[in-house]
Amino acid sequence: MQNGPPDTVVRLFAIAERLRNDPKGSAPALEDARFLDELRAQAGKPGNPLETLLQLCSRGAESLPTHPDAKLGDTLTRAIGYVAKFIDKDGACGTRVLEQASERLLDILGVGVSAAAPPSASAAAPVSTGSANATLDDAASLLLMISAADKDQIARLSIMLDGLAQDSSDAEQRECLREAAQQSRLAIGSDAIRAQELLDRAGQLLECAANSLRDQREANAAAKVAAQAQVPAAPAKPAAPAKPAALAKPAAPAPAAAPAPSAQPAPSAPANSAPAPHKKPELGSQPAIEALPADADLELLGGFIVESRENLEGAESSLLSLETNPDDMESVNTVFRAFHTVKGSAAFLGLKCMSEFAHRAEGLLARMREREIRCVDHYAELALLSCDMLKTLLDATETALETKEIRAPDGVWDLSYLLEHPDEAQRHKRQSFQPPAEASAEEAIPFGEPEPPSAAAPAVAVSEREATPPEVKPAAEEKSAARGGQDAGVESTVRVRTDRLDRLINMVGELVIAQSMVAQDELIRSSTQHDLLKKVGRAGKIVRELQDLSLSLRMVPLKQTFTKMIRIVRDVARKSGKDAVLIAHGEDTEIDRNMVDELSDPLVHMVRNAVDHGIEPPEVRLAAGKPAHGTVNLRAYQSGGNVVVEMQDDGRGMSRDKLLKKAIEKGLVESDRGMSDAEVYNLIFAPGFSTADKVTDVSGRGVGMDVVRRNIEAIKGRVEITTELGRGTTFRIFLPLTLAITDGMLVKVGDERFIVPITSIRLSFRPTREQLSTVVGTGELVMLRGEPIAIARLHGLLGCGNAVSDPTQGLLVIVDAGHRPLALLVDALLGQHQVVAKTLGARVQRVPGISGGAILGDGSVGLILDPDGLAKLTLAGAMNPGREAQAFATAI
Amino acid sequence: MNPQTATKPKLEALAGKYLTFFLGEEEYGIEILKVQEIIGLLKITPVPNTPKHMRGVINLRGKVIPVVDIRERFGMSAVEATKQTCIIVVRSGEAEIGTVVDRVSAVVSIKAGEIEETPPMGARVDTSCLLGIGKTEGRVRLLLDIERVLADVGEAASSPTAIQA
Repeated sequence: MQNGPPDTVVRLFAIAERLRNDPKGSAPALEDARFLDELRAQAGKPGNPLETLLQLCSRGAESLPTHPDAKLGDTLTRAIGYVAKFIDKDGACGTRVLEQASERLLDILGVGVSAAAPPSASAAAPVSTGSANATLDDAASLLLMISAADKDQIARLSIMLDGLAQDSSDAEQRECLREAAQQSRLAIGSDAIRAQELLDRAGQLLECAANSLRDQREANAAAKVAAQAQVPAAPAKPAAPAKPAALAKPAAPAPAAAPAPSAQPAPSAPANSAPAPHKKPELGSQPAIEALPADADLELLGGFIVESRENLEGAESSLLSLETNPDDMESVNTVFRAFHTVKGSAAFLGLKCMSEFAHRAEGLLARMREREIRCVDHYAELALLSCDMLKTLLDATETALETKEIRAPDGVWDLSYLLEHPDEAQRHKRQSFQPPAEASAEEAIPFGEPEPPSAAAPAVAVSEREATPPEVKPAAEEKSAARGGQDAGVESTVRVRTDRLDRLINMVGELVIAQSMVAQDELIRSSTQHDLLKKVGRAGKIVRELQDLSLSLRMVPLKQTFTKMIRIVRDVARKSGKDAVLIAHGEDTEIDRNMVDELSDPLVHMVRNAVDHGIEPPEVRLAAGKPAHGTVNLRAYQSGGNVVVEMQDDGRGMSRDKLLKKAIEKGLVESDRGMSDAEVYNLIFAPGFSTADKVTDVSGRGVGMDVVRRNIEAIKGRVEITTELGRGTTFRIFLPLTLAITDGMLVKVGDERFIVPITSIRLSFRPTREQLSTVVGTGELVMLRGEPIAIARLHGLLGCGNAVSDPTQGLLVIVDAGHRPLALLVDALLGQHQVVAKTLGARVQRVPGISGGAILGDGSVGLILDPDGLAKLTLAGAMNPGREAQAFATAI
Repeated sequence: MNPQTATKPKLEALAGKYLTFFLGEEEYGIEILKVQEIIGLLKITPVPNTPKHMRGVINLRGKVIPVVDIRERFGMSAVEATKQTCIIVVRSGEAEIGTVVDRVSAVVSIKAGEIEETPPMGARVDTSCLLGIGKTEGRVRLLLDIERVLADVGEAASSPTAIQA
């Protein structure tokens, strides 16, 4: 029975989650009750702790809709959480928690539901199973229930702990208990938040103690009895520095089997009600390395990481939008849900550090949600920092998939402390800030409290991702809500492995080719069977549609990337003391998924440079008659066969002269003779230029710009710069729509055919003899509207025989090669084709002048020309005059 | 050609099944596990600015793969393609590479005892691509280190010296 399938666990968590969010939903509750009952039937013989608890849960779920009771809902949620945990861990966590949960639930059910049947004997049984452990459990449950502000109860707890420590026969346990008592005593004298923290620490120590006790109990059952006998004496021992007044009152209630929950469940107590509440906060111990749970399901973890990253992306963009509109409760909710989901899933997966941290972060958001604080200034900063930290933790977890150890990132504990004490953060960081009046430090943070269904927190439970692994179902629901805030329509998506997707796309590509081979077969083309032709045509249409569709599978909007940039601008601006915002336009423009990843890095770099160096400090801007705050516009749009990503700042711009000076200094160029503006600006992309010492007064855009260009070229894109001194700079990144498909012009060169990417073709024409000339006898030029363009003889460069060698008999195709045009001499244009660009096999590296191959309609391979490479080849050819040039000379 | 630097696998380790093929009168063997498939000769698109032994690229069911001319690679004279000329597609790691051969012969088992080290043939004969010599059924089969034969497709293709004028 304990080998409950994971679905059961998931379902249980889902139930717990729902009960927490919506304790009054009656129809599902009844269904849940039935489910719990069924589970009970499988739970083994009546009277065992699991069976008992399930029975109670089922009853509770049944009565909840008719007797709405926050306390019941809460207790039930926890109980179900225990059950799930129990089943999930295959009983490894012991039945103790179950018994305790039963007790608590029974207590509430007995009181709150008059119509309920009297508790069965089996249900009552756990109460009497108390032993020495029960007292420890009492302390633990007291601790769980306790409100940080309730000094009397804390005092009582400390006494109880002291007593336990006294009686403990185990040195280790004694030490833990003493320490715990000490912590709780300290808590009495502290303010609420600090007290909560101390209590958390105490709870953790208590857990240590309980663990050591369990070991001990296994070793020696007799010792347990002895300990139990001594317990009642415990409260008599006064805890040294505790307040006497507090001492007097709670002395009485510490009998061994006292059902603490019944005495303590103060409805106002904002106690811990995380999905796995028995797990005490761990922050106090600050472990630097957390081992991955031994039974961790790596696949599940991987899924969790992906899910959580997405959640956090959403959270981040909401946080950023909160900066401008701090009262947008929907965004607050989005962030809250994201944190909450991460917390829940992390706890479920046994990632202590992360769940604890997320818990704190959630606490902060909960306060925002309760309108206790507003998401402004340092609160907003903290929230953003937590978002980052969670991401870092996710990274650490990802690393842990291999190393099995989660290395807690630096600062996680500091940050989590700040989350609990946000006002301290403010004190440290900003002096000027006035905390909102309603931010009362006296109240404990009401994290994880059952959320009242209010207008501010609509329970959106549409599953956005139906194919999400079932283990993270609650997360999926949360996420849809998180997304729902921004996207009107709820899209349903499926997560697919990229390699499968790629294979599918490849297969479709092959299908297209195979189909066109059929369609172009001589037999078909010359066929008089009209029906057959119709059928072939129809198949062709479907195949083409299929191809379009398959290619769109890879396309994703740039939105995420752009959101990241907003954040970067914000951060860099703060750091460098500038005032800058990034405005994103056209973020729905879609590009190939692979390119998104590749584009991200260069963009980050450019955006950072734009703010750091491009945008002037506010004073300078004002002096220059510009608004104090700089603007970086990030645009994405489609233009022709390209996606253009344009980054435009209104900063100081670049000066041609200073750039040139620097370049000459660096030995990159000798002089600016014949250099167009674009060429000069492109110098910033030259490697080496970037490492120049401070050029900030000129442009500063240097650091790693060569890397930027390389990255962009790697995805077949190119960068253009336009700049105006004092007015700003614009970078335009031109990217192909997709990496897979190239619109190509098939050209004939002698016996061979080549594909010229349409995007680089400007025009083609047959030159007249007057337009042609040679330079120093070797270089060939064609004058086109007054512009001299070098001629590349393809047949020569590519070694094709039987080609037209006289330009006036062939055609010149003018292409953009780098930033200069180049005229390719070809025999004829054969027509435009959409081709799927492929590499020339894994072993063949770069072939000069050729960027890849593509399968042509007849099934043979056509080579795709690379204008840049051809330009270089031409240059190399011109340096040692070949026979073509001579032939050319004689032809003239 | 690269001087032979890598230590050759022990002769015993060479025992196994080989796909044998002919180049003219000489019979060669490729380890069968490295062979993916044998296809008939189809249109090979020459790739400019690559070494001569790189015959070009072909369309292998939608994939573009390079094809090496072993004859050219070994400096043997070219021959007209016949009906028996075919391409052996070799898989090496992730890469698939085709090799044009005159005629595929058979799959033979060569035992450890039947393999001998390649004798030194003087400076004029490049034996760096040979693993050893198998003698079965009274015939001599040259066992090819196909990885090595194909290894310098990429390297040579990318080297600037390969650019034809």
